[in-house]
Amino acid sequence: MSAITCSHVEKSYGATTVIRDLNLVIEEHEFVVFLGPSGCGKSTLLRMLAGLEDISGGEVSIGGKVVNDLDPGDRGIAMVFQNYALYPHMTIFDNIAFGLKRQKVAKAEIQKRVEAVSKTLGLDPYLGRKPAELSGGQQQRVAIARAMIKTPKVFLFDEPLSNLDAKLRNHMRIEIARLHQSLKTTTVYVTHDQLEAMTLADRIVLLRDGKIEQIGSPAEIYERPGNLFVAGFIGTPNMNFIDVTVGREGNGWTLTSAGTVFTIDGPRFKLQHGERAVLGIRPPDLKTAGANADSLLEGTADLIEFHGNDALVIFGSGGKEISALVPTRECPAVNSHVRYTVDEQSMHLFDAKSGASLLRQ
Amino acid sequence: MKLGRLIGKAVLAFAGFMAVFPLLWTALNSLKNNVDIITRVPRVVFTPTLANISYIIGRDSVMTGLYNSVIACGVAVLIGVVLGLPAAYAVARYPNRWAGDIQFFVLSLRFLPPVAVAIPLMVIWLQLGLYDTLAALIVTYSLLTISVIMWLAIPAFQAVPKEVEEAAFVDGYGAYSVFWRIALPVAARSLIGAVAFSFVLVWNEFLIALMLSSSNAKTLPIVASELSQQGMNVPWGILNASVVLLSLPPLLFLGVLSGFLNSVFRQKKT
Repeated sequence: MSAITCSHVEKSYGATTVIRDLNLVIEEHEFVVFLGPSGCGKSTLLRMLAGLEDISGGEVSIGGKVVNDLDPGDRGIAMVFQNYALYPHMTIFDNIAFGLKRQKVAKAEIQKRVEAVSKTLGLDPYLGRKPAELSGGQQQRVAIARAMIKTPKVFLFDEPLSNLDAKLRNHMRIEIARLHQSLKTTTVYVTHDQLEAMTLADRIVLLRDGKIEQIGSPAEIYERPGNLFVAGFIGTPNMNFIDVTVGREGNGWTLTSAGTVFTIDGPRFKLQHGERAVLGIRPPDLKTAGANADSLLEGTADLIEFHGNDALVIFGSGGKEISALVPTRECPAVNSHVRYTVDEQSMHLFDAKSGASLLRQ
Repeated sequence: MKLGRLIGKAVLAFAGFMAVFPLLWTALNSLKNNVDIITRVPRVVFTPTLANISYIIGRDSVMTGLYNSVIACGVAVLIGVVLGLPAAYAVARYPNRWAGDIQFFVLSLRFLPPVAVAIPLMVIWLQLGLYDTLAALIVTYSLLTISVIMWLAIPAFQAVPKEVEEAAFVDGYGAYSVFWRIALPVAARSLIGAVAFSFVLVWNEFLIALMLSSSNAKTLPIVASELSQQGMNVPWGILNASVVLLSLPPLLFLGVLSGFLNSVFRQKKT
C-alpha cells in the first residue's frame, strides 16, 4: 500500500493558482524530496499534506485514507519546521512530550518514551532546559525528537537545515539519513538545496511553478534530465547549454553551433534533420582534447576557479561562456588557449522549442 | 570612553532622581503637619504624624471611593481580559475582511475627547435609570479596557511565531487549546503589559467618572479632588495622603503582575 497519494491536487489563493493538477504516489518507507526554486509550491504542497493548508481541489490520502478534511493531528503525520518552532515557554521534556500528552498516553509511558528518544538524539542532558538555552543544532534535534516520539506514519520536513551553518548542516544531514535508515518511516522532505536532495532522496520530485517537472532517483535526474529546466537546475557547476542545428550526415548526425560542429552517431537520441536543438554538457564531462580530436570546444580561458581537487575553467566559445571542470593538475594558465572535447555518451540534447529531452526512452 | 560612560551614568541618575523624588516627597509630606509643609525651607527632618493618613482612612467618602474604584476598575479590566484577549487573538490569527476595520474601530474609541464620549453616555445611563451606579461605570470602563487591551494584544499575538502554533496543530491540538496553551503563555509578557496599562488608564480616569456619578458611584480620583475644596486653607497633608492612597493600588497591581511575570519566565536550572 502506498503511504501518500496525491491525485489531481490543486491549490489556489483566490484567482492565483499555486499548484495545478498534481499527481504523485509515494511508497511506504520511501524518502522523497520535493526540490525546486523558491516559489515553486514545494512548501505549500508539504503543508497541504500536513493539513496546515486547505486543499482547493483533488484528493490527498495518507495510509489509504483520504485526509482532505482531517485536522493535522488526525493525519498520522509529524512535521519538522524550518525555524524549529519549539514551544518557547516549555522545557525540552515538555516540548517532546506535548503531542503524547494530547494522545492521553500514561505519564510513566511518556517518561519512558521521551527518555528513549532523547537518548537516541543525544538530548538527555538538556531535558530540563528551555529552547532558548540550546544551540541551533540542538534545537533542530529537539524538533526531530518531537516528531519521532509520535511514531507517525509520515515524517514531513520543511527545509529543516536551512537555518544551520554549513558544517552543522552536513552533520545533521547525515543524522537524518541515519535516522531514516533505522526508522524506515516514510519521509517527505522539502529543500531548495540540491546537495541535500541528491544525498538524502530515494526519489526526487522536481517542481516548478506548481507543476512536477520530473520524478526520479537522484541518479536518473542527474543522468537523464527530462527537460532543459531540470538539466539546468540539477548539477553544480551548472550545465553548459549550446544552441545547435541538427544535420544528417551519412550514418551519423552533425550538431552545428556558432563555434563548432559536433559529430555524433546519435542512436540514443530522437533526431530530425534541420531541427533546432540545445546541446547540454556538464562541466566535468568536458575533457582536455588531444591533437586530432573532433567535437572541439576551444577558446581563451578568462577565469579559473580553484575548487581543490578540481578547477573550473571558464572560457568563451562561439559567443557563449562555457565552463569545464578539470583536475587541478591539468589546469591551464589564465588567458591561455584551451581545447576541450566531449564524449557522445555524456551529451544531453533538448528540443529548442519545448525544452523536452530528445533522449530515447 | 570612560568619561562618556560617566556622563551617561550621571544623566541616568539625574533622570531617575527626577522621576522618583516627587513621589518620595509626596510620601514624606503625607506624614507632615501642615506647618512643616508650608515652610519656606523644605524640611527633611520633622516630627512625623499619622493624622493625615488616619483622617483619610477615617472618612467614609474616601473608603466608598476606594471601594468603587477597586470594583469598577477591577471588573472592567476582568471584562477587558475575558473579551478583549480572545477578540485580539481572533483578529491576529484569523483575519477576515473586516479585521482592519475592527482594529480601526477599536482605536477610534480613543480618538474622541472623553467629553464627547461622556455626554452621550451620561444621557444613555440616565435614560436607562442606571446613572450614578457602579454597573454603568463598569460597562463604560469596559469599553475602554476592551479597546486598549485589544489594541495592544493584537500585535502581541501576531508576534507569536505562526509555526509554533502550527506545530501544536500537528501535535493534535485544536484552535482553542492552541490559544490557551501556546498563544497566551508565549505572548504573556506583552499581554500582561497591556492589561496593566488598561488598569492604570481606568484607575486614573477622572472626567467620565465625574460625569457618570453624583454621589453613590464616585471613584477615588473624584473624592480626592473634592478634598482640596474645603475652604481657603488647602489641607496639603491630607491631599498628599490621598495621593499616596490613590497610588498604592496601581503599584500593588504592577507589583503582583511583575511577580507573576518573574515566576513565569524564571528559567529553570538543571
